Amino acid sequence: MNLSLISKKFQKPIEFPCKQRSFFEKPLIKNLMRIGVITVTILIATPVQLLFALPVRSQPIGQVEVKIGLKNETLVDAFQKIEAQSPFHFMYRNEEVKNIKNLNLPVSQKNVEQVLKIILSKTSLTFRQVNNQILIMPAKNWSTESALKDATTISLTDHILTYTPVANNVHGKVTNTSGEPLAGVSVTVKGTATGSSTDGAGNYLIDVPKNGTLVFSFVGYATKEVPLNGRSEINMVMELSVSSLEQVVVVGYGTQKKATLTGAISSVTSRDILTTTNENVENMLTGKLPGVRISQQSSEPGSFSNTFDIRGFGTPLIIIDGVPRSNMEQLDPNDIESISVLKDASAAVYGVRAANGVVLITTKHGKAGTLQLTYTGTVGVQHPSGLPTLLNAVDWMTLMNEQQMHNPNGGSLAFSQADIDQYKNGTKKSADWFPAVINPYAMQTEHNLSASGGTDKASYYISLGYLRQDGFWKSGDLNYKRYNVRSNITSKITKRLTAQLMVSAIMDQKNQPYADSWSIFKSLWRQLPTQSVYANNNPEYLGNTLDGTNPAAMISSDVSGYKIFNNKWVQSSFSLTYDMPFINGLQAKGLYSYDYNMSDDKQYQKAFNLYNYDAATNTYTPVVSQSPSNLYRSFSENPSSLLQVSLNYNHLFNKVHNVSGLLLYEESTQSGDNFYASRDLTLQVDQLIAGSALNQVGYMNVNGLYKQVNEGLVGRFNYDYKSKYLAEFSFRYDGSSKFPPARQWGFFPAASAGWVISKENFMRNSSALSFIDNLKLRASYGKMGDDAASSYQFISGYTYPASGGNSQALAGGYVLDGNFVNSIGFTNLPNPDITWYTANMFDAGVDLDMWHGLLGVTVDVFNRNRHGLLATELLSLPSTLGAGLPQENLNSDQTSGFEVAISHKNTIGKFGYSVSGNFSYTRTRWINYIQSTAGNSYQNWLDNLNNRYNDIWWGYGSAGQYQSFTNIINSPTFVSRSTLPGDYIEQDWNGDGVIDANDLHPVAIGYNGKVSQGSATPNPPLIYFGLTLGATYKGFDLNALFQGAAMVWISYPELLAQPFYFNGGSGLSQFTNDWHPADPAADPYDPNTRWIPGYYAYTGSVADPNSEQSVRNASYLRLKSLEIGYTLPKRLTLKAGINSVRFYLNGYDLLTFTGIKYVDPEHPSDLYGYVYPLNKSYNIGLSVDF
Amino acid sequence: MKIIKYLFIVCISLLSACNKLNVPPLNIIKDQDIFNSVNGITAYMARMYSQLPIEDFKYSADHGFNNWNYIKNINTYSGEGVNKNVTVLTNGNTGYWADAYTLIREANYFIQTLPKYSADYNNNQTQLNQWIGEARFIRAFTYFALVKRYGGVPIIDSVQYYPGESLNELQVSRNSEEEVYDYIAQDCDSAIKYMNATSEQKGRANKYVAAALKSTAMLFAGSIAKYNQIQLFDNSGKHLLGIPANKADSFFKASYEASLLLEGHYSLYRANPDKYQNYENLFFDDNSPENIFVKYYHYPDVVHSYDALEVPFQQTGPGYSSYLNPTLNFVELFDGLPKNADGTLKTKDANGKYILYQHRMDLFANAEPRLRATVIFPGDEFRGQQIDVRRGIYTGPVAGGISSLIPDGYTGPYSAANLVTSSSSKQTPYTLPDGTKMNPAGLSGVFTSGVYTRTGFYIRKYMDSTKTQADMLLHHSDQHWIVFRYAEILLNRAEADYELYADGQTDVNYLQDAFNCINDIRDRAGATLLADPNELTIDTIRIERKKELAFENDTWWDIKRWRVADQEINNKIYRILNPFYAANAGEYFFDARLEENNARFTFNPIWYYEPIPGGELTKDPKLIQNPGY
Repeated sequence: MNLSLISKKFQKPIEFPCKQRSFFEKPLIKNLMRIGVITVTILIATPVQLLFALPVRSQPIGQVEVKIGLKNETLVDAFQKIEAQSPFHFMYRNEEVKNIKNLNLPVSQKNVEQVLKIILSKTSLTFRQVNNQILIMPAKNWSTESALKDATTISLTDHILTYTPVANNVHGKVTNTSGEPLAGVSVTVKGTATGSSTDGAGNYLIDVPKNGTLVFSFVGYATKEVPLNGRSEINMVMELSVSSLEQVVVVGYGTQKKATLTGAISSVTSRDILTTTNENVENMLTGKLPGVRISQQSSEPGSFSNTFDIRGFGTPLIIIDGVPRSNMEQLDPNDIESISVLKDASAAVYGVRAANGVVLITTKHGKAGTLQLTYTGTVGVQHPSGLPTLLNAVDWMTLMNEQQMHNPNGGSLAFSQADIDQYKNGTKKSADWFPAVINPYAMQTEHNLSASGGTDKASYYISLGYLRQDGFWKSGDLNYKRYNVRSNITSKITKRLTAQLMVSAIMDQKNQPYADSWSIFKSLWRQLPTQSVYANNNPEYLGNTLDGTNPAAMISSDVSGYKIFNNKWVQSSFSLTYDMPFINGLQAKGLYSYDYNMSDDKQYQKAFNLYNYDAATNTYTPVVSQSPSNLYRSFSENPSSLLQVSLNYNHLFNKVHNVSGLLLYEESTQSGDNFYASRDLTLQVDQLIAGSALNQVGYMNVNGLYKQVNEGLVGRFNYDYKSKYLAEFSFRYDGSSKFPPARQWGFFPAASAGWVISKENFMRNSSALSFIDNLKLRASYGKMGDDAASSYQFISGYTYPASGGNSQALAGGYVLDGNFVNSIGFTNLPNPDITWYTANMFDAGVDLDMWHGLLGVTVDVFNRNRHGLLATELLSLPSTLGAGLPQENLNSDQTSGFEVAISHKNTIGKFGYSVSGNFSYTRTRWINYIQSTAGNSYQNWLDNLNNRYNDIWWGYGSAGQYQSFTNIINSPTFVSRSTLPGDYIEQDWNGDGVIDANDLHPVAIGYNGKVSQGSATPNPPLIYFGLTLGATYKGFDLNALFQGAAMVWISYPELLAQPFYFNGGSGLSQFTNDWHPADPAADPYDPNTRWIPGYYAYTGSVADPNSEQSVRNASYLRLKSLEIGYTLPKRLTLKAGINSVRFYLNGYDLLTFTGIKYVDPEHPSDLYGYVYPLNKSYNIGLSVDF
Repeated sequence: MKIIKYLFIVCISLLSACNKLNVPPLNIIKDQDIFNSVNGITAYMARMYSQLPIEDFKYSADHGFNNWNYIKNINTYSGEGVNKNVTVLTNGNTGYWADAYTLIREANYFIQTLPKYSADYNNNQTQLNQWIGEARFIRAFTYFALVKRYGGVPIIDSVQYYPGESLNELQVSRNSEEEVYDYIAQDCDSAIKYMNATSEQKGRANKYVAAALKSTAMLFAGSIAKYNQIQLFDNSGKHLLGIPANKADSFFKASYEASLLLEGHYSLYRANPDKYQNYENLFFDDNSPENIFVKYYHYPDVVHSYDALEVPFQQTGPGYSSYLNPTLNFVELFDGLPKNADGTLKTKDANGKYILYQHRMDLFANAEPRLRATVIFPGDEFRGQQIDVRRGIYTGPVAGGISSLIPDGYTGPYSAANLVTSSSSKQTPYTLPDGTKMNPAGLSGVFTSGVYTRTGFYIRKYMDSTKTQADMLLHHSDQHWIVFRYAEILLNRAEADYELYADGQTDVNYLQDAFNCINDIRDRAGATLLADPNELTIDTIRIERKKELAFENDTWWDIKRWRVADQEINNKIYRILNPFYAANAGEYFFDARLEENNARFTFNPIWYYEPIPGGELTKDPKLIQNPGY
């Protein structure tokens, strides 16, 4: 469909797919086109016009006479002259006609058919009439001889036709490995500016010197070079590119060819991102980029809780379309063109914020000549991944009895056998809380409609996206909705000046019941199976429970109120690019961006009743929960702006010295403001107006009030010699307002070099090494900063009101004269020298591509040394000083590791497949860690963190479980009198016969220093790996992503570690597998009691959370995503006017292999293990290109 | 070309505008904005008062100050009460150290800085003195919190700077215990001298508040001098722990004199002629002449959870309840109950058969009003409801009397024979001989699992009876906490009197003064009055103090300063009272027994001093740890 249409109404041809002319004649539309602004209306109108186009009756071209003459004019001129005198319109591909010039024809009157035969006689073109249109197309089985013959027979002697013939016409068809035609493939003559491209049917036509070489290139496919050797037809099968050396990669403030890259940069394009279906773009990258470490912690709609870092460096800087922006999670994945990750010193151009690496996200732009209307949509169901089950009544009572019998002073049974039997024989029924709270399935759906296209003057990409994800609560009151709108428009204002306007708006909303997810799980897991959801099983009365919570009430907004979190983002940037005259390759650019983000939250705490039922009196007594009802509103806004001006230079000297340079100035401002208000409600109406002035609160989050400014001057210089010796130097002189005036500015240089050995003659000439397509060595080193330190630590003073006050703990004020009086807060002592910490990053890598893409290997090793990490001397100064100490730049650490990426791609007949895998390992050690000296050398050794990994988990070793009383009596270590068979034996590590703190030793990896589990989030796994398998066969495609992590340990807290963690509450069913006396009523402390072994110790004995009994290896391998697609054959869809239709099935987290039970291995043990689960999801998708 | 020109102009003008980075902070306030106005001073005061180490509804043995979690409060350590979560005693150390020195620094900074701004107050010395006095009171209060925990601690009396002072200067060593008490006395004296008789605002200190602090602190110091056995000296011979015995009398005397200062300015609360009601109201009446220093709460800005945590089970809001169960041992301290010869509660007749009562409250008919205002008895009324406490229904024969369900001193479970009990509040009713239905356990327990009273009793003191069940929520209580009330001053005075009398001091008729003080207290309590000063012993005074100040976080410190905790709490199982309903008699009987949880408590004598937090020792090598740690 990629034909060009020319109209006499237009001065210049506009590249546009073949559509109805009448449409383009509308003056309004024409004007819009000229100014380069395309509205949605057009895009929607266009296909409609197509669909309703009716056949038009017309005259044959042999019957219409025209009177024309040509004088050194082009073929297009000739067409225009004919159009002016006839009802006909020409349709042709610009590429095919633009080189046909210098036509001469004396003025004469002939019918159109005759004229065309004359002027096309020496070309490879022929024509065909369709209604009022004349299609100009390459002749089938065309040969010079036959054309000349035709021409001769038609030519009129009284007209002299002069025509400058082209050297040699070559034509052919380009297809992909499945035999489908490829449109838009660039076909050029090597070493010249001559070029053409394929049409919708994959056909091309080009003039080539007889000894010339054709170069076929297409994004995503391997470029092919074919020497002509006298042929006139060359059909080409393009293969998906493996080495993607021709790929252009987005780098900081620009783009570079992958072939000449010297930095460690990984990137993915939209095609690879979209093989995974998930609500969060980050999860769609998992396993796909070597060195990018992603763990999903929850699939709670709208929570987007992930750990996301590059090489274990910490939170990276996210740049979206050249502007630092933090809303990666809310992007519509369909809008993303590519994501590049700068993993080494190539990030140094971002200066003081670059130390953790940089993620560059580029959104899609329109391309000249292709109008594309694309719809993509999925609908799917989610299923919770890894949820434990709850104890039933009999098991609960049994374990409760065990717990109460577990008393060396003499225990007693909480439940008699008769009590238990009532549940066993069905007299009473165990309450099933789980299905009352959790739905096993929840819906999710995502839709995107985009339109892109343009001319060589203007292009646009606009899209509309919608996402909805439901949660697992039975009530359906947990859900997330998002709307994305994007408009990226580029317009060439003059020959040298290009303007670009990019606007994106995102609106999202998370709805949830008033209770947070973790508290609902905590409540659910505690509920006794002997108490029912409803009092007396009467659904009109929600039951009061032992702990006073009822998860069935908590999940319902109608019962207990709700929370709504609204966010809106408007992000815009406008840029002008000017190609400088006189100096070839020099470009100036200015960009201004303004972003605005606002959140508007509402929380409605609704009072409700739970009921106690007293069977003796048959009464329901209400217990009021969450009283009084309260309404909370908050609003915050975060505007930010950025200004960039830059000069860019790029030139190839003497065909061997490729020089490019960049000089850029950037200034950005971020600020924040907010307030909130709450009132106790007098009326049960969920608005502030219904509240009372008594106890009302109006205040703000003091930390959300800020303004910060960054300024930077960036320079970069690249040089390569024949693309063989590569060098790059960059710097950034960067300033941050977070630091005292004398410490605001820093200089961050970086340098890198590469050597493409495969371009050396000794390799090129060696037939033994000919299998190597590309071998590149590269290394980079640079200095970067991180200004994440809290602001204004160089100023002393007070905060007012005191920050961190908590009405439930230490309040930020005091009650004087009956009123609450805000107090001041003291800031820390000032540190006039505070500044950012610096990171020196080293990376060395090898890129190797062999056997034309059959095997590609990339290996990187890296090392980052950070200095001046913030710490407080508090750790070593006596507390008697009595003041909070400021942070100082004291600590240092080192992160090092390696990555390997391997890819293989092949095509066997119509079957194409690809395999790519990556593996990364990262670990960080403290080099210098400020700390106090311990009292003795052993303690000093124990506490020391200097030159030690930052994730050593200290705990007790395990020596199994006591098997019998004999075992206990003969224990070599001291045992307490409460010890029983089945109890965990901790290892006497130092052999002194006593288990105490001196037996602590490293047992696993996961926590920074000696922080115990539960009180902090564990470090992410040290090893991440991913394996992507892709295959295509005819219209089918398959993509499977296996992803995993290793060297990670967890220990579960609270209810995951023991039943009845909370006073008499219930627990999880796995604990029934425990050591217990065969006779439940037997005294467990009687040595004659017979024991039945189990996995866990007798109820009441709990392993130390930091012992080997509790610490478990959470390595996993999972089928992260699996997608099977089918593209309908083109011949079918084209008939319907549709370019392509693809159906697909997609699954997320389908299979998991892990040693972790009851919960998902990625599920963290922080928040006491009550985090909302991950989801498995099954989706069906449709993608249509019109 | 024009555009290029413009671009360059923009470029250069931007680059020259460098001081864009000097953005003033939007949320930091400077010294003069605080010190130059009364409102600023008030905000500073609010800060210091809020940090004051007041052991109130938010102080517990495991979480320290200002934590809603009052479950392991020190009243469950002292033997006054128990709960299901306290099954073993610890030293009660919560590491209160760094926060104390933060507050001391803030007080020091205030004392040093305020004079620079005296012109802003027209050099009004009365006003300036009042404020300086408050800061000194706060500093003294804080040092007292330190010294009673750790013994001698470093005295920091001026602001230290870092960087500025060397690490060596910042590393300070401990002062002697006596020096710290002297320093407290000196600060109190200065505060008493310079402060006004009335507080600037309700909730703040005045000269009498400082006197009350001195009375309490000096009494503590006197007790240490007299009873402490643990001695610790540093290399220079400084007496870090312990005060020479010959200093005892001067401290007792200082306490006595400080107490005397309050006389005539405060008095015991006697607003209601009904002694029971009067005593209950005492803790809520904001206009009580007994209140010397009060910490106020105000919902929702600053709240506690006392009601929610301690409420009888049947009145539970969603969640917590029953975490402070007074022991029978405590109840047995009071008059007006039937007693055996050994002072224990009489529940059986001469034949060893249970005495039957028609109503549970019959047993407590003559109990001292103060006791009833302190604890809730089984079957007692609270918040308009009968607090229904029943261990179970006895279904056995009653003819000839009911024999003891368990032997004396038995700690095991009841035999299931002839007893119907309930494992939880979800009860299956039992049909009585007359056909009516009765739950085996009371609405407030006692159950065999879960949360309920472990002793048969609930706490009444400080419980807000005006609140509804819907208010029984965490973080919803805002009744005030009385830090010093006049009864405590009287008890301080009586104790100091008696110690001086016992040591042979005769400059005042100390015994008579003690007698007057104790009888004043007893009269208000509705207890039996002493007839003669010679009835007084140190124990009568101490027991009076335990009764009067029960559940006010005082007893734990008292038994520690008297150095009797290790004798009183030695492999101790507390006594409880289980009411049973005898189905065939239609009457109640009570089984007084050892606690069914079988929790045994022992106080380790090294706990008389708490350990200095380990981290502090490593940061300051000049600090010496207390013995035993």
